[in-house]
Amino acid sequence: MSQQDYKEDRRVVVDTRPIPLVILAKSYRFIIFLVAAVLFVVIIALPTPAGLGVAGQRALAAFVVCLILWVTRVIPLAVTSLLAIVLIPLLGILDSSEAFSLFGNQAVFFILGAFILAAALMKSGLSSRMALLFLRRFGSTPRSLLIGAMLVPALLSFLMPEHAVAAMMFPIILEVVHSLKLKPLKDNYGQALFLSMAWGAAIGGVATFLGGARNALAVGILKQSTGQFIGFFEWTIAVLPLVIVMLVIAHLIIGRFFPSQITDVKDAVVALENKNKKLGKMSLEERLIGLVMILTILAWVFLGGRYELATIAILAVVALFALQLVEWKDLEEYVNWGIILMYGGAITLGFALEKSGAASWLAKVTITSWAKSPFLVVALLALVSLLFTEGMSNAAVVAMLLPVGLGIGKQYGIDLRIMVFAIAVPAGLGFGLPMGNPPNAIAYSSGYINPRKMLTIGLILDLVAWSVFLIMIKIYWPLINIKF
Amino acid sequence: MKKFLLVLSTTEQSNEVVGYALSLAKDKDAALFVLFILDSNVPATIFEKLTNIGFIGDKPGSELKEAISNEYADQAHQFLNDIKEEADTKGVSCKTFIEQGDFTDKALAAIARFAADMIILNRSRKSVFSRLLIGSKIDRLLRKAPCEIKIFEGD
Amino acid sequence: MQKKAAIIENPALLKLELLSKGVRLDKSALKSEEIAQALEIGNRVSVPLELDMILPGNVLVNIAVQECLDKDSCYVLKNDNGEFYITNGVAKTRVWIVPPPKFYNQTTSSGALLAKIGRTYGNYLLITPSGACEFLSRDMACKYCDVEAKQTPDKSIDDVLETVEAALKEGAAEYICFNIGYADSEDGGIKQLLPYIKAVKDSFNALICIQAQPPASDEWVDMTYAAGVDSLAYNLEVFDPEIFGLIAPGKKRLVGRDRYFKALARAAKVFPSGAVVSNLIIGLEPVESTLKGIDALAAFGVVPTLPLFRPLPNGELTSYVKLSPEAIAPIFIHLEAALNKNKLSSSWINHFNIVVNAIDAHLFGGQTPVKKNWPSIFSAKKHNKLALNLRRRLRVRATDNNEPTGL
Repeated sequence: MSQQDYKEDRRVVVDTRPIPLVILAKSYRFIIFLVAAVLFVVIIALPTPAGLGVAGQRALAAFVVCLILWVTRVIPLAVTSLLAIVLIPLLGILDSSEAFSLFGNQAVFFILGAFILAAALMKSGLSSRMALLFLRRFGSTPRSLLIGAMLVPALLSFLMPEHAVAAMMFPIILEVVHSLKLKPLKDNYGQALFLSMAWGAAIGGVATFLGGARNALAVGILKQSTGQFIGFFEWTIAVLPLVIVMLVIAHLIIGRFFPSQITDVKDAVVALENKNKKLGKMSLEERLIGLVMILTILAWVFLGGRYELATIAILAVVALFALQLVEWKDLEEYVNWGIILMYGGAITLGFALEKSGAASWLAKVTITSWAKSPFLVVALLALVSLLFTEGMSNAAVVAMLLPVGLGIGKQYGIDLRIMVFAIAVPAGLGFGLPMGNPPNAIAYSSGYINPRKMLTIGLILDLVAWSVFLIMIKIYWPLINIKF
Repeated sequence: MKKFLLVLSTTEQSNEVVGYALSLAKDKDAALFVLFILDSNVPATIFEKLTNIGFIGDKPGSELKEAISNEYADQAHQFLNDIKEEADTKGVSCKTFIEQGDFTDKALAAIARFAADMIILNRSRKSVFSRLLIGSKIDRLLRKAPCEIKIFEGD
Repeated sequence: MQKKAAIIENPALLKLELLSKGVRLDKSALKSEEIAQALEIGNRVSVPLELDMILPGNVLVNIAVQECLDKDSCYVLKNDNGEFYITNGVAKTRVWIVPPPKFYNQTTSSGALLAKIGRTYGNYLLITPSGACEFLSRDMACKYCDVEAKQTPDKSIDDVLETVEAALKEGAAEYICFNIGYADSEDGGIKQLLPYIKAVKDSFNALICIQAQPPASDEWVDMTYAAGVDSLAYNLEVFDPEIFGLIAPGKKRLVGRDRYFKALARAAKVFPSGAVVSNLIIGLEPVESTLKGIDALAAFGVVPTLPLFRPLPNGELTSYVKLSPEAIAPIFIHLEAALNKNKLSSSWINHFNIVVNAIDAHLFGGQTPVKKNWPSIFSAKKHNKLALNLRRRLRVRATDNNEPTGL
């Protein structure tokens, strides 16, 4: 070997943590797989319990494996979903053509379409323009600017995934904070602005199928497993009061815990103005994307009964390309495609659990045996979903809880739509931890927020959200014909 | 002339410790070096999680990451500039530095670099969170630092 | 008189004296076979004669044979019926001469003399694969450095491998130590060594150490460890910031003093405890400054090595601090305390016989020396190669983006 032949090694990094920790980290993946494999074998090998068929038992084994892998994330969420799709036919729960065909579920294609629309909004700069425009309008007093900082992302989250909204709002809020010369961690107003942004985006994300894809996923699982459906408009009507009440309460709580010392926000308005000027005049491209977006939403609302939501979404995507408003390259940069696989697998697994009877059996052994009141059951499920979402992926919470939730719903004869809401809505309302929700993480990473304060106030808000949700079930839903 | 080193970090910014360090340097006629350590772990962890849970696309992800890194550096610069101004008005010789990495390691290396006679650290009295986070770091420094250590217990 | 006798009787003090002053050969010494062998090798590779010696108490030392400059304190090596003594005219002490390793006289398949490719110092085989150093070529040579800017061709990997093999076979070396000059690039010169390191690691189960300048980025520190280096030295030489600039203008201007500390701090995290060392030359700065440097380096896990300054023949550095052995001894006692405080062991350099180290330092306190022969000294404490390799396997991670990042 000569020096010329020598090729530079790959870039490396040396792990300098204590050796036991390094060993643990190295073997972590292996241990998780081992635990998953052992549990899988044990569940399969155990005598089939009464009330559960062999197929149900096997579905349960697959569910446990996927659950472990989803929660620990030793492999990407999407790859776990792929595993689900092959495990199910391998175990003879469904035949393989059925299992694979579930991947082509409408919910998946709806989410695909929604993400592409959001990508177009972001790429064209239309979303930033809208945010700037609205926020500027709000900026007359510190209080109103704070309202804007919450309301604008909330409204945008009606149209786009909440994490995309938070990512897009981040530089705008930063601009405001800089213009007001607010100091990280010290100035209440800075903390209040970032928290308003994060919590606004999260609360808004509950309102439509577009804000949180988990909503569409939940409805997808419902439709696939039971044939029931919740329409685009119907969802929003059912959830909107909660969204409005939560926005008001969140704003009040932020105002209460972060009393503002700022009296004047003129500098912020000037900064927003300047940022807006930099965007120039609204381009034809932006106008057309806006038009496509509006037409699509109108179609979802008014034609949703006649045509599938996914059909409308895909047609909108085709229109974007036909009008040359986006290029494929843009989509590759703005959309995380793993989501499609993740959701496809989750739906498949949910269906398998439902069809094999595993879901109802699980429901029976977990909650039905001791909880007597249907309302209590729903309240409990909502709380579990809320707590889980503080620690894990919102979508994984839905994928994990909903099949069981539907089983429980059937046992009690509860309207299954309630079960969907009870799991999917709280799954979007983790306020306390940076990791609970992508907007929280983004706001926290600004360096302006005191994490301890965020946790305390966030947990209070979690409890408030839970209570408001329960009140809504009791008082509001009966009015719109969603009853136990 | 003696050399004092004040170490600050992303999670531990305090105006009081700065005032304290400046007047100490003035009293003892020492030069003050101020090192701001950007904790590289914070954004890294968040972004790993974001791509994991948030399904954020590459482009918005990297734009956001850049915005956050810039913001951290800006915050540090701003903070250090303020300190310099204050030092100038008080007539204290003051130099400032920014670095990214582990708190204790960077602090120890800085003691050597500047041949510092004393290191000044801040420990917040109120925050349990920062106690947990910073406490162990300070303990490690206490054991290792080859010079005098002053810990400022602020609010 | 008494003072002179005391120095001879304390092997650690004697080592200090011999390192800084060298030894003159008495006629009786020239008659012995060991000396004749050493002379022959010296002539063949045309380098000044150096002798490896064991002083009482297993104190290893490499001594330059030279004419005495300071007539008041000359050390002379004498041979009395095959037994060697060192005397300063007042007292004498028994010493043992280590014959040069046999492999020195062999030639590689390309015809190069092995002694010209690698030289042993204690159980270190020191190889300088390339004489290139940008400090020299840019006229910013370190003032204590006696390497001349001559264009010697790089040593071939095959020649180096043959030398390493011969040295290992003979048991003449345990550590293969590569030395490289500075290159003005991100890696600081280490890149040139990588092919040699890889070749040696692939062929032999040997421990590798390097002496280099700090790379511009910490990434290269990690890469150095990953490549198979077990111990490394980024030599600061002088702690005082001002004297540093005067003594080592290249280090100051091209690398920067800060970089030494930053890279050393990273290396101390990356490499096994005690495996990162840095020179602080005694005598180039005031003692207080050296002491401060010892404390500072030890605090972040770097073992300071403390060579003594020997004035160069060209007389560049005339204003160095002249220190008596009694003045130097406390520095080593301080070193030992600093290492203990930071739980550092100097095991990686215990047998590097051109520096005084902590193992010698305890003798300053006057403990009774124990006589042993050369090989048994080396076998006293060995690094566990298996454990070191396992550590590397566990700690090194690739960071390329092909790994699934997770969705």
